[in-house]
Amino acid sequence: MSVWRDVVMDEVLKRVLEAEEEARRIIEEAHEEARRIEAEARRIAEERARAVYDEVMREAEREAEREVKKIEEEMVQEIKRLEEDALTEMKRLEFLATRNREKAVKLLLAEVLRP
Amino acid sequence: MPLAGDLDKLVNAVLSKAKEEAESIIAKAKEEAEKYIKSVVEESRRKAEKEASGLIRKRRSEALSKRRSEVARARTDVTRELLGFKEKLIEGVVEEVKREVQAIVRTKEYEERLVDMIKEAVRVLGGGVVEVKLNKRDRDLGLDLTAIASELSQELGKPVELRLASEPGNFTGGLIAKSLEAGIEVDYTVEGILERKWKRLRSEVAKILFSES
Repeated sequence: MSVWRDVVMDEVLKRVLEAEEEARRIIEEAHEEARRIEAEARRIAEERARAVYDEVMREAEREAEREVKKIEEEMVQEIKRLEEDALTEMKRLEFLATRNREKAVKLLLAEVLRP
Repeated sequence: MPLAGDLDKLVNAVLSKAKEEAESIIAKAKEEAEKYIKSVVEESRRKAEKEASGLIRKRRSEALSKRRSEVARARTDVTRELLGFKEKLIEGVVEEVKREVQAIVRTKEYEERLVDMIKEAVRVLGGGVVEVKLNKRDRDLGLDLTAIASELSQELGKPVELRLASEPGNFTGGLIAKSLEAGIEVDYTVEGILERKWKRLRSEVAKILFSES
């Protein structure tokens, strides 16, 4: 009876140990899978971060170019206005000079013949 | 048999618990992976947005600086051009005056003016022996320098002698008188008078020339 019981107990222990071993293996595999997921996450994170960074910077470049272009166009307009104003002023001066020329010549003439 | 059934239950329970734990480990790993990816991407976006903002600010600032500089240069150019244009118009008056002088020097009125100028020059030099330089045309007028000298001598109460310079002067009109005793010279040429008076006259001419009234 005692021998029979020992045999049964050994068998029970053996099954339990095997089960525990299987359980450890399952958990170890899970940990292994978790590490793989973690590594994959790092790779994906790096890849997506780079993509997001590049996209944001590309958009920034485009916006900066739009801003620069706008400022340059304003600059061209401002310079054009300056030149147009100068041309108008020249015409005005020319008109006045033509109208007042005789008077100015008289004054100067009188002065150069008087020491 | 009951023992065997209990053992199976025990083994199944151990394995089932291990599977649950494994699933939990993997689920947690997946959850953390999602969070990690999200966090890294967000951090990258924040960093990029900060850099992007700096980049746009820098480019805008550079463009504005360039615009200020170019507009300032254009303004300077335009001002210079306007000043040059005004100067040209003023110079036009001077040129016309020179042409007018050319016409006037052929008149009797100019001859009288020239005599007045000679007298004024001698007064300034204080009499004595004075050399008078005229241009070629005025030399041909045949002015009576002796009579002028005599008149001045009486006026100044001291001897006055006027001598025509051996060489004609290269000027539009007027004269250069030189006291041979004192070595002093007065320049009453049209060009000389104009040059001396020009600083004052220039602004007067400009004022008249560009007057709105």
